[in-house]
Amino acid sequence: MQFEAFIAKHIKRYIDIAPLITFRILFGGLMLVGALRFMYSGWIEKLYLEPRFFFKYYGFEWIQPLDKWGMYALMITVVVSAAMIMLGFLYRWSVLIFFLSFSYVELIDATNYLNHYYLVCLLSIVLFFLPANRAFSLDTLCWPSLKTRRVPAWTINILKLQLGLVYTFAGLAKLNPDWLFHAMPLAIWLPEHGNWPVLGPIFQQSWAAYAFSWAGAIYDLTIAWFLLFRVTRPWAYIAVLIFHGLTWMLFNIGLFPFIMSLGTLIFFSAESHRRWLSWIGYRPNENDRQAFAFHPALIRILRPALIGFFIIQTLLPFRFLLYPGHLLWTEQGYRFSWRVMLVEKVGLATFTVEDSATGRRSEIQNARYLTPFQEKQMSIQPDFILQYAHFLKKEYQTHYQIEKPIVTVDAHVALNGRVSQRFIDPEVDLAQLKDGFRPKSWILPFQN
Amino acid sequence: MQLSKYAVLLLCLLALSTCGSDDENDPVSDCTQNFDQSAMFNNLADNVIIPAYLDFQTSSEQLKTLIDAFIASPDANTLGAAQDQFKATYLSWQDIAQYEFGPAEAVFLRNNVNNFPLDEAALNSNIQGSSYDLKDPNAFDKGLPALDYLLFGLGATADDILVFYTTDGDADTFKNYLQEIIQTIQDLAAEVHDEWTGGYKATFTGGTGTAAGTSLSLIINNLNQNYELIKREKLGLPSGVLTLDIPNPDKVEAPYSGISAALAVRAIKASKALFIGDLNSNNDRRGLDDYLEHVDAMKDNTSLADLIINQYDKAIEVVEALPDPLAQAIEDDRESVVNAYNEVVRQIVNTKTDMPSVLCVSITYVDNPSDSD
Repeated sequence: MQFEAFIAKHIKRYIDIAPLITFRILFGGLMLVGALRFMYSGWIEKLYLEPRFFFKYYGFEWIQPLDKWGMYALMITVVVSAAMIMLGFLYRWSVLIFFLSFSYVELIDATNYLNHYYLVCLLSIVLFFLPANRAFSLDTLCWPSLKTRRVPAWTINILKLQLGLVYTFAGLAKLNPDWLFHAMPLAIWLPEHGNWPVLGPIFQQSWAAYAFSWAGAIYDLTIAWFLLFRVTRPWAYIAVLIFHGLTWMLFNIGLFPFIMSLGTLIFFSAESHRRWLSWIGYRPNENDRQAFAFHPALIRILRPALIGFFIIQTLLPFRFLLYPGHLLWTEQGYRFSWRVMLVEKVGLATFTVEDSATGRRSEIQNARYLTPFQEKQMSIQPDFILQYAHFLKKEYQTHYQIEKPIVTVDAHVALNGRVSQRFIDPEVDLAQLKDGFRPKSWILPFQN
Repeated sequence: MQLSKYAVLLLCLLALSTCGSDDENDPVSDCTQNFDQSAMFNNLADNVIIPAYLDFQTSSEQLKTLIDAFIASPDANTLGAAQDQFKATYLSWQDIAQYEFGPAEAVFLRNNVNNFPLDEAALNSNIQGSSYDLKDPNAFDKGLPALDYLLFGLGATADDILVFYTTDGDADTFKNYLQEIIQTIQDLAAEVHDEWTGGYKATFTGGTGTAAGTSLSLIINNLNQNYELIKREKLGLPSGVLTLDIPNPDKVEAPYSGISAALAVRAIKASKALFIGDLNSNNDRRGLDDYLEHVDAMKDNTSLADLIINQYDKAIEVVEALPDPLAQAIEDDRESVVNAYNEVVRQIVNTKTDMPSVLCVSITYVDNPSDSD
């Protein structure tokens, strides 16, 4: 009975569309700004045109970078589709095109993986199914019959669920000894801002890193709940602004603080949203269609699909349990799990290619093939080390006519303020190995 | 509220279960140590960096004087005097090559003084009259490598060399080019030294902290960057370690004067001097070793500072054992050069991963073009 009441209230009930409209406008606007900033910062050149080798996501090796004009065309597609989402024009097509172009860009080089890019992809999948263009949009201007005042509650709550998952998993990820009992890596990052007015001297105190670590963990674990309830919501939102404001100023984390600060507005009541939207001219009309209903056949497909979508999202962060070893060290099952700002690593990976026929050896200068940023990321992530080794194998096969190159690596990583340890078995011929989801036995265990 | 209760419970459990492990042998560095960075920077500036710049400036001035004398009357004596001083200047250069930040970075000092191996074809076409820019950081036709060639490499004997400055049809152009090269070096040396003794010293000593761009970050990054150049350019490339064991003896530093191994030794000694905060003697001055001691950095149950000093000494020892000219040594006994290379390389993990990690300093020369999360 309780379950049915829950379903009725949070899923089936019809509620005001306004929060969904705000979300659409802010999401589109933010993505528009983000893509423009990306181009303006010269990152297309730095990240996609300068490198000659790209690290791939398993299964997406076929995604290739485009040339200069292609990359710009792709990024402009992102810009235009984001603008169209914001304006609610040809909405479903815009979301689809945004999702495809944005994901394509992100899949080109796994070096640039960021949790919030993953979040953007997930949100655009969800948004594709939501009637977020059914009010205050160019679509309703062109096709007034689309205008709708109310939508099923799940279309709004699904966004709360999505954001809540991000916070909760980010919080759970912080429940590790380095974060809680060594205040790592904040103990490294906070003192870097010792020159701040007022807060600077505090950042240099040992207790500050602990306070920030624990506060961060508690914030992540609880904020979604405090945002859910009307009584705590205003205070919770102030906490959201302070938390993301601080992280924005302290760390180089781009759009993430904005995505979360603006995204969590979805938790506010429909009245608030109607009021905010009225400031920019939203006038719901009594004559508009009262409620938007999905076609029953569509619901039959959509329901299991979306449930599956969230089950997968919930399971992915736990897949690390299937791998042996220390997660922060091996990074097996690390991505797509909302592990945000958990490690500071310094890596050094020196590869040697040996011609198995002649015994001749070459030490590799990584700078010949990788950008400094790629080299940094490669040296701390085993799957990148393997991909790069395979690239070197091919390189020496094609350019130096070595039939069977042996590729080994002398790799050391220092994790969270420790001295370094050897990272990869130096005897293993990486050229012989295949990448996959099996545990990588050639990662040497972490010694604490 | 169910989940938050659960979370609090979980936090408490975790807190209880792991609190006992915080003992003195904590492998994780405390980044908020109150080491007196300013005192270290002052010592480095006063006793290591500025004296080295001054030495190079004085040395290049003397070289200029002797080259002028040689040009005024080119004979075996004036040539020999210039040659000897050239060696001293090239050795002196090794002490400052690693400070490619601040004033030196602004004038591309390392590129403009010591881009090697020399592009002989470019140099000859400069002498033949094509236009050139001695402050183009991407050109390999100038600096000490050009002097090496002009003072030692034009002929097998002194008499052969003298021909180019006396009876050769282009003798005047050779003289001019030689003078221009040393003049540029001398100007750059003076400029950078003056900047350091002028305003930059205060900037350097005041640049405390651990963020990117602070003095600590600058010296650690530049120490490593230069040390990697030592291993790669001075030993790795010539010995063939980077090229499928096919040696490239022509790519050594100073191939004509044949002092490559001596230069490499001096460069490693300079790196050690920066690390211990002392240029020549053992005065126990404040350096990175003291900083590492201060944070109790240990590796394999040994003090990291001692480990690094020992590795410097080992590297110096093996490279000192290499005979000059190094190009010849590579032809005769490549293996010993490769062994020396390997000993030099062994240091890098200590200074490039361990040191920045335990000192909690940001690596800037691996700059981040993107956001992080």
